[in-house]
Amino acid sequence: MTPDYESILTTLDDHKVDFVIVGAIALVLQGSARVTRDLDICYAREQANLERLARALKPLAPTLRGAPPDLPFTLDVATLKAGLNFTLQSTAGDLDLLGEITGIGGYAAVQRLSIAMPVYGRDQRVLSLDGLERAKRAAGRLKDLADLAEIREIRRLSR
Amino acid sequence: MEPIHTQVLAAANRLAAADGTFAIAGLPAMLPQLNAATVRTHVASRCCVNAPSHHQSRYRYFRALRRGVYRIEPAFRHATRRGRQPIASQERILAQVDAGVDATLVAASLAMTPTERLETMRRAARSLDGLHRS
Repeated sequence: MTPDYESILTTLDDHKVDFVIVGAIALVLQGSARVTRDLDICYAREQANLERLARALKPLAPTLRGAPPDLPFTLDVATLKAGLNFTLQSTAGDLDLLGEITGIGGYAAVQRLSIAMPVYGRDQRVLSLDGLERAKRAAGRLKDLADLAEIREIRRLSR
Repeated sequence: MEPIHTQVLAAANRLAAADGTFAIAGLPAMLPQLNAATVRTHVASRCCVNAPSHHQSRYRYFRALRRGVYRIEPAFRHATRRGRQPIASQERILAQVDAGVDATLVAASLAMTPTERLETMRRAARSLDGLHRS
């Protein structure tokens, strides 16, 4: 299915969830020409935000991606508290919830490295090129290095 | 301020040997800003994947190997280690992959608004889906 990013981002924004768009979608928003699918967000792990996040995602019927379909799963505050990172599929597409970003840290550190960007008519926090570079360098996989090359090109063309 | 668990993970990465193992006894000295008991609790309980079942383990950073010795789980071993490694090796690889970036595509993307970039990518993803189905 083609992801419906607008639905996911709108519902998160409607519920005032504290989150930052990270990963490949952040790279695309910054100017990358790559194609990706799943939306990665880094979310604040304060109790109130977990409540807002669980409430926001409920209408999208999130389940664990790749898990057996009969595996019971409810994305509620207790579930969010018990874990850190969740790879989900939903009626609007794949969504990864990340409590931390390798090379950066938790939400507060990620938020500091984010910028506001208009996406579907709303200001969203998106990981900056500096933040993306830190995360990519720390992850260090071959695909991350390819992304670093693209970040370098984005910077060069943005001057 | 960074959460305690991320400070503990970062310090463990600085302390650990190449295989990710470290002695818990050496960790409190690396985190003088934290209570030593808090540091030990994070390693042995809060962040330990094989902590006793009555412990509340939340972050899957460490695995207890034997008394006092832990190993950073592979997924978290690089969290700071790679970040502080000399990046010359990455730069050498980058020198090779730089040629693979299509500057015209990036320039076209930069000419769009962020929403347009996302929607263009969605259309490309939909086309790929169509190709896979056919």
